[in-house]
Amino acid sequence: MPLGLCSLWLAKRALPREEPRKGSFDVAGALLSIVMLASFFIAMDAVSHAAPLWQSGGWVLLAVLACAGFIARQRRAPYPLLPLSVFAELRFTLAVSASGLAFIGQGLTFVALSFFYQEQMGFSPLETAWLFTPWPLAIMFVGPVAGRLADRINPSILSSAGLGLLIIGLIALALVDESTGVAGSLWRTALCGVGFGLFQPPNNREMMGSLPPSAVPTSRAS
Amino acid sequence: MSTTRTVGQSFGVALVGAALALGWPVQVTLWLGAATTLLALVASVARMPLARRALHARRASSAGQ
Repeated sequence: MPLGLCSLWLAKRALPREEPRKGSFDVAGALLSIVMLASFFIAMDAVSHAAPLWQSGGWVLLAVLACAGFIARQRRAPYPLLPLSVFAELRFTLAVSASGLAFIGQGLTFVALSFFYQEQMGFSPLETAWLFTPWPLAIMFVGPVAGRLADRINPSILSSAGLGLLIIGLIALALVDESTGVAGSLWRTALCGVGFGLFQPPNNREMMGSLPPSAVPTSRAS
Repeated sequence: MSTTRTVGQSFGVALVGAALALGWPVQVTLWLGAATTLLALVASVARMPLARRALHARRASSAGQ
């Protein structure tokens, strides 16, 4: 809460003020988006808790219906929340796909590793957190460098190299066993962080750079 | 970017939950993570020629100015 309030205060001070245009906000699209994302998350939660099939299936069905409604609404809305035309740009679509898939991989690894370290290797929750620390630290150091390099080198080469390192790190983590020590775990998570840090800024740049300036807010939100 | 991140991470977390609920070993989910990242790499490599053309166009444009 305090951090959220602090960011709200900073945003109010720093963001430029714009006069709202009447009827420029797609309320129906926003409501459909809320139903779509909320039912998707509830469905995912139901799946992860091994809920009965009718329950998770029902939420998935609701998410799919809301998604269909959202797409139909975005095609007709005068000011769509997500102009679908942006996906006609192949560079944008591929960058979004790469980002989504990489985040699935990251989400999988973060949760799976915490179970692995605690339940199979006997580390405490605090020790497990320390074992993860090289990942965000590496992103913190590599990310800005990768962003600057993307000005001079083809961003997709950088992001592909980053994903290559991330895959090597993930495979190395998948091969971890009870005999792997702390140092062995640390370098693996660090390698994943270096890979992710090298991938993300150039990929974000591709996402934003592939669209006209008027569509950049859309690329940030998607 | 933000929706992709949220949906991607949630999907990843849900996959781990589903795999554990099905009784799969944790290592299987780590391999799944590597597999989805491999798909991301395929998408990233597929746009290489497009990104190269865009980079050359940007350089030509700034040299012209």
